[in-house]
Amino acid sequence: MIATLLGLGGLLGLVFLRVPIGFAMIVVGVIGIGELRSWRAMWVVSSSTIYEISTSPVFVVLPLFLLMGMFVARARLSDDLFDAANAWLGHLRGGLAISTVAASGGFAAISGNSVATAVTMAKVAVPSMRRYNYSDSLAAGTVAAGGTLGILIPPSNALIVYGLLTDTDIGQLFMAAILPGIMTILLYILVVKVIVLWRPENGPPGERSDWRTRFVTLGRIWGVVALFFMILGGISIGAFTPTEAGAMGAVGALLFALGRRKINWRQFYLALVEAATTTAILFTVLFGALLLNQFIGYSGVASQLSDFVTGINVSPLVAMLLILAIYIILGMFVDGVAMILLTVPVFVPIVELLGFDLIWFGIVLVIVVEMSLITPPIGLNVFVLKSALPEVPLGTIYRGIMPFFCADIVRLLIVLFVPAVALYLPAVLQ
Amino acid sequence: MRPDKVNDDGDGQGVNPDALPAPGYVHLLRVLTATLLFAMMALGFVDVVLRYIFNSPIHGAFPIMGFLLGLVVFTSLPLITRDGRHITVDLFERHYSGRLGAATEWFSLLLSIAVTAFITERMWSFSLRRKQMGQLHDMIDVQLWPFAMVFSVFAGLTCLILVGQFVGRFRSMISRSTGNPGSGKGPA
Repeated sequence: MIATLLGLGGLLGLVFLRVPIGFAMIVVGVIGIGELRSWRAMWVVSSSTIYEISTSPVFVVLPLFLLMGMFVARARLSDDLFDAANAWLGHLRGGLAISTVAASGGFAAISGNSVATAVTMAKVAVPSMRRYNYSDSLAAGTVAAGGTLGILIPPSNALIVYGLLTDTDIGQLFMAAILPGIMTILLYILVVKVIVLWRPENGPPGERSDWRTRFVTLGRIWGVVALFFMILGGISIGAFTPTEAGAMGAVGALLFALGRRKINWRQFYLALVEAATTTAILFTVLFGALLLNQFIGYSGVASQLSDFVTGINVSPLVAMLLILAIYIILGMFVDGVAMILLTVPVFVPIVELLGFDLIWFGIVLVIVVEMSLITPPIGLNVFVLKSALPEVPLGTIYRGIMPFFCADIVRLLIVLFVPAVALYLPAVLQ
Repeated sequence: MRPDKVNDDGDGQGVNPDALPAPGYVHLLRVLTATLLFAMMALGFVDVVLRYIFNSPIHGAFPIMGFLLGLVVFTSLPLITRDGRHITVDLFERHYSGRLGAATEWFSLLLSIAVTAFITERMWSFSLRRKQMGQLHDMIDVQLWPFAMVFSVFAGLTCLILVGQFVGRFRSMISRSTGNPGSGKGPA
């Protein structure tokens, strides 16, 4: 236990000293394995772990879905998604904000990335909202919160990373995220409606589109729908493994972008380079996370903590609430996939021993990570939005986010106390 | 990841590779890693299509994609290191000014050099051991050692890039202390 605490303390120290997270985890992992097992074992384990992760066909799923996201971003599908949502909903009070949430959900469904969703929707939706005199706080809050959908709605890169780290079925994780994702969209729409009921001047109605325009814009988003159903449908009926779905999705997104004449050689090349380098960034941390995982495993700390929880007569649910409280606090300072990589080796063995379902925990974890993207003082989506809209003060953005953050808490509690929200679809579609 | 690394390409995924002046080896690595990733995607797609339409999947497609993955990761490692794109937590960054800031930078750089040197050595040893054993992949008749050796070479290149950054900063510090700002440019 002491060795583990020292190791984790050392890890936090290194991370706060600006050592790259992956390298810090490798240092702590190899020293921990050397101390607890043997230095000879450390040499063997470290080389085989790094080699096996690097060449594991199971991990191929990650770059392929990243690549799909890059092609989708370059195909500018976001404009069409927003136009379609706007044509149907823009005439309502707060309709443009509702359209932004809906379009973010649609974009998230194929990009798998929160930052990409936030950046893209900031460029697409904010100018329209400003034209119709929406308040900056509602516009910024909607885009920042809508952007977080990217890591929950499948195919999500965060869920893929979680699945790879915990050896959980990625297909089942995708299925489990569908209902919580839809619930989030509905809750965010509810938040917008409440805001414009309370202060109507925050979201004036836009122009009403005729029926022809509505169906024409709807017809333009067939590619998004087709990609989404090809991937999730293919996985759920067992036609594809997640890796194959990634390859099909990437080629599908590329063909779609080519068909729309939205991608040239340079864009194509940049998408490949960007997906490859992002893969390397994540793999550097994966090397460390899996070495740290082994150190935690050798230390036996998970079973000790589990025994401790049992010994003091605290129910597993209270223990889970404590874990989530730690996550929410941690999320104020660390966010995105980094938080998953940093914490999963520590918490997942405990969660497993407490008897929780790892698919369900994956969804809960991703919801908390989503919240971390918009919580002060470090909220990645907020910074992304600030870089896209430099003239909007950070305080205004955070004020706009607060109602959505409250909705996130409600959503977290629903998934926590009604696990079926996450586990129903995997059970039915298995 | 740091928010200042978000590009303006509309994808929000990272640094625009063409935004920084890059030496020749960087272009070469970018072309290499892009080609490998494209090959991985194409192989996965063709394998699925051949299996469903002609009932004859490509033999060994899955493990070959695994090898391609390793090559993508290790050819990209020097690129992300050169561009400083590793995931860091910059929570206390604003408090690190002056000497403390410089000290954390030196520390981080030295530790990164040590870790990449460790990976280089581990992959090299792994490769030599597999070569001695003549170990083949479980599913296809392919030797494992050449891949580990290539990984080691690229990890070594990453380590050299970090050493270059270290030397560059050291020279910059020396030139600042001697009041000669022109001589402090480090290697790319």
